[in-house]
Amino acid sequence: MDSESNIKKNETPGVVNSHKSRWSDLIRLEDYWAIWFGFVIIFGSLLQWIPKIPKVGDWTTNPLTAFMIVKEGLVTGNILLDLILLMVGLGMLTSIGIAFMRVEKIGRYFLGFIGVFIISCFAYWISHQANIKYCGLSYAMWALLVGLLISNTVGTPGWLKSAAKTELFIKTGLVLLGAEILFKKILALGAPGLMVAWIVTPVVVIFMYRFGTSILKMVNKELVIIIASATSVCGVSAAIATAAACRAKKEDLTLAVGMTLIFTVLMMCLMPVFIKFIGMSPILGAAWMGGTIDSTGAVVAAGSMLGPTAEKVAAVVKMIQNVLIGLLAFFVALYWVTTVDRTPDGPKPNAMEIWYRFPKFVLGFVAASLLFSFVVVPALKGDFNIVEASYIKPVTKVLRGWFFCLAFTSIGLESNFRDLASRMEGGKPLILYVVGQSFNLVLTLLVAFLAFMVFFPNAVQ
Amino acid sequence: MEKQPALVGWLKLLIGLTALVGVVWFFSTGYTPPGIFGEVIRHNQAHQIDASPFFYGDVENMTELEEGLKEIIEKSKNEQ
Repeated sequence: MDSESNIKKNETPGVVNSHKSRWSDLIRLEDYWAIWFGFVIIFGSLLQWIPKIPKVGDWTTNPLTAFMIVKEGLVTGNILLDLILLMVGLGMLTSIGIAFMRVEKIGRYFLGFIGVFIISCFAYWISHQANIKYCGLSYAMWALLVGLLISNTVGTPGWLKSAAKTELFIKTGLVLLGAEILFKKILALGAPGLMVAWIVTPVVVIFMYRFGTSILKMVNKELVIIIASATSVCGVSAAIATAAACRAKKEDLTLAVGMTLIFTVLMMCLMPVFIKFIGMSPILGAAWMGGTIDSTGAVVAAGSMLGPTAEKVAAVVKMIQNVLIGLLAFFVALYWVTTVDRTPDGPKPNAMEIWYRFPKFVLGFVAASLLFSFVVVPALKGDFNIVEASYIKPVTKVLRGWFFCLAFTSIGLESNFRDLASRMEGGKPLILYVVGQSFNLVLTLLVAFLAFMVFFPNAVQ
Repeated sequence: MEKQPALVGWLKLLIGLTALVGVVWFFSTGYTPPGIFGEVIRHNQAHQIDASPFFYGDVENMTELEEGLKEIIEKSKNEQ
């Protein structure tokens, strides 16, 4: 994301700057603060110092139900106090980083954070309406919409903007997301799952990047790679990781997420109907949908239309793709630092230059994943269910969701429709998405057919 | 004259919020599109399937789905 880090501010166009990392970067740069926040939360969760984090509940016709605690049909309390404590806690935690980074006055930031948090609660509340959930319309969309509504009508006031720290929230959320990505998961469906999820994905990413930059000649390379990642990997989460890794502008992420969400709903509704209509094998259809529909929730919904086994296959194929996010972010960051951001006639950046420019939060993301994959889960006799129930579900997962919601709200508050429209480049992003997704559909179907019908026909019966 | 633009902005915000609340209310009625477009959503309503999570960790029954698939694969291997 277009970070406040010193890297781009100090650059003189056309000149290769040789930068030196300093020890003070550890407390001055946003990337490091995302790592500190993420690991404070992760270790706080592992040591069980952090209590269960409140989340907005589901509701159908009574909107107040979202804030009530219901046990066995009876209202036993509400989560308002817990939400206020969460707001204060997150505000104080992030204020520490803001103070050291010296980017805002703390009082102003904290006041603004209250505003951003309340707007995020509103977005969460909308997204937890039952029918909205059944339609697959996630909190990301509502947070963006509400933020955009404010910024494009009355305009976002300065005190609110001071807390719209999109990059910080996204990067912290990504470090927490790392704790949920376990490398062992890639073996969940064996060779056929790996074929669909890991052979098709890099081919589609590279195809779409080349198509966008060389054929469509899109100037905005960051937008190209975000759309390519969202289409080929797993939608919004891949878009977030890629946008942060290549330091894209917020409007690029908004555009990519908007397109992904719309097409995800369309594909969720149409693909299972089409598969049933032509009489495709449910397992093949499930693998096809798992490898192409962009969000896991929509994949589960679409897969369940084909039966319980298909539902499982579709979900697990998507899960295996999700695991790619960490690698994707790492390689995109590396490619951007060594190739895209490089001055055309300048020398190749050396190792120190690459280190200086590399978005450090990606390392925190990968480290969290490695920690849980190879230390925490094995320490608990390889039982991920215990890890998930004790540490991830009650704390890191919920906080990850809050940070992403705060991030999307912040993007909305800082964006305007004119900036979004300027990125449309005559419809090229839409053409890129449609062509890329079409290619993804054809290639995934071919590989899924080979994997589940030819090479491993008895893998899942 | 200077106050008018601010008033227009607040009016637009009010209209926007009203529209947003209207959309939410519309969804809360349980409406589904007719025909094939609504088939999956009706299925989700009937089985209470949340289609909004964008990451596998957010799917409530992901562990059960994984374990279920593991059992199916084991069964397939034993039957061969």
